[in-house]
Amino acid sequence: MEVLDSPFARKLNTYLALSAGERKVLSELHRRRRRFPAGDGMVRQGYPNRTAYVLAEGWACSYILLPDGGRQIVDFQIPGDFLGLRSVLFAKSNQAVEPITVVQASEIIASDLMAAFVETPRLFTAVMWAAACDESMLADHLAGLGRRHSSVRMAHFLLVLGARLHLVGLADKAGYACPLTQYHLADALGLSAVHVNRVLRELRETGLVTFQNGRVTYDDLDELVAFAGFDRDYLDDRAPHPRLIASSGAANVWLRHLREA
Amino acid sequence: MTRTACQACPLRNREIFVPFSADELAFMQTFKTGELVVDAGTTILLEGSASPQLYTVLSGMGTRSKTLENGRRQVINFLFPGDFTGLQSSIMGEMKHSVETSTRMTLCAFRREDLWSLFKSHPERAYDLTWIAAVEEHFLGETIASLGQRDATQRVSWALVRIHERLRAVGLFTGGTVPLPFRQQDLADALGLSLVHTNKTLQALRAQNLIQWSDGRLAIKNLKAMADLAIVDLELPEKRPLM
Repeated sequence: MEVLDSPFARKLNTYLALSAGERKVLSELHRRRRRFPAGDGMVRQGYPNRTAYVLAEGWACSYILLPDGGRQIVDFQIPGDFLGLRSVLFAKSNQAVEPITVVQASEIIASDLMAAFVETPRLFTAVMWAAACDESMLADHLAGLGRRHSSVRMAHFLLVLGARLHLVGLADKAGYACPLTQYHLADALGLSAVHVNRVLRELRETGLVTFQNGRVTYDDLDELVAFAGFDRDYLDDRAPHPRLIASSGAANVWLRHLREA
Repeated sequence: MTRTACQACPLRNREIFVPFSADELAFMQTFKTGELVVDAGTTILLEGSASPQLYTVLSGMGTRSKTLENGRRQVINFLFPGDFTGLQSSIMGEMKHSVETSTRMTLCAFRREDLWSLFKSHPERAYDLTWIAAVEEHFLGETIASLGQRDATQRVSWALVRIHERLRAVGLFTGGTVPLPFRQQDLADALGLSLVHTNKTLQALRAQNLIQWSDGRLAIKNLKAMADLAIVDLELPEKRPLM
């Protein structure tokens, strides 16, 4: 596969037009491809983790198990996302990562990543950008748990997921394929499965969004966006996530350096 | 005013921080462009705006918070000595949350445009930036788990134990207490609780003689019992680089 076709390169390329040299470094990073069956533990909580992955195909989730048995899904990973990148830096991982579907992922060794960064600082900044976007979405997830009512939380969550999938070409304005179960949604959104069921029914019956048979369909995108209080810029077709891609370019000396380098 | 030389930094030798090499120390002295002293209640970085500077907190505390579309506030985490802030704005063009001070605060300031030379000349320091971001994200995950899976008593206990141990790690545990300059509303906004619920929970913890929070200082009377209540393991906060 030509590296620019990979979801990861596609995502980074929305931030910076990658040069031939940078594409080559990216291909090198993509060399060790592995397949994981659904439910296989890719990263275990409480153990050292020496390997990070870039997801090429399939979905995974990262979660934290509390000592009392509760499971909180922290995030879902879709094609183009890093898996376990952060925990490589720590003595032990505080999260587990598990494929939800069959997953194809490229194994990335921390030292290779460091070498790649030294070789191409621009690529490094693109990776930093992707990580900053992830962190920003996690903060949004946190805010949803803390301060959004369950149906707004669900609507917002489905829209964010759609925007992320859109960035790698896996969603459009009609909706997206989604392999998550109601249990996944419950564990991510801090709701019971019964509550998730009720909220999804409510969103469907009010004509906003339908999640059925592995597909999320926006029944009325404008109304859904308004209901969720979702930032419309995320849905822009022309350039995905324009707000995330440093709109204040003229004033941003650092980014100008990057683009000229 | 006097400016703290990196050589004399009161934070860098704390166990929670990764030690500096002589070369890194010399570089940081050139990377640091100044110091900023601000009063309590100052917004240092504003959600939705760009900042020409990045900061490391030398002393003082604050909050990082988001205002939601429904007008409600979520405190994402608290800002403590040694924390680095402003990177998000440098990378994404704007801040996705606001940073406010809860006390008078001294910050080491760095210029955003100097980041590029940092990436080129000191890749190991650039790598440290991802490490710092990783620590932040690590904690964000834990907070998500708290809000999703812990009840009010567990959440409040979790936050107090974590804050207590973080402050101890930077040498602020003195006379059996740590400074806790936040309002109950900040704690409520961090934990997804109402102010009333937060207040009642704190009262119950005090009634059980587990904590004492008064005059801006927190004493945890029985750390082990609080950790059990919070369902957390008592361990040192994750080691991190200092910028």
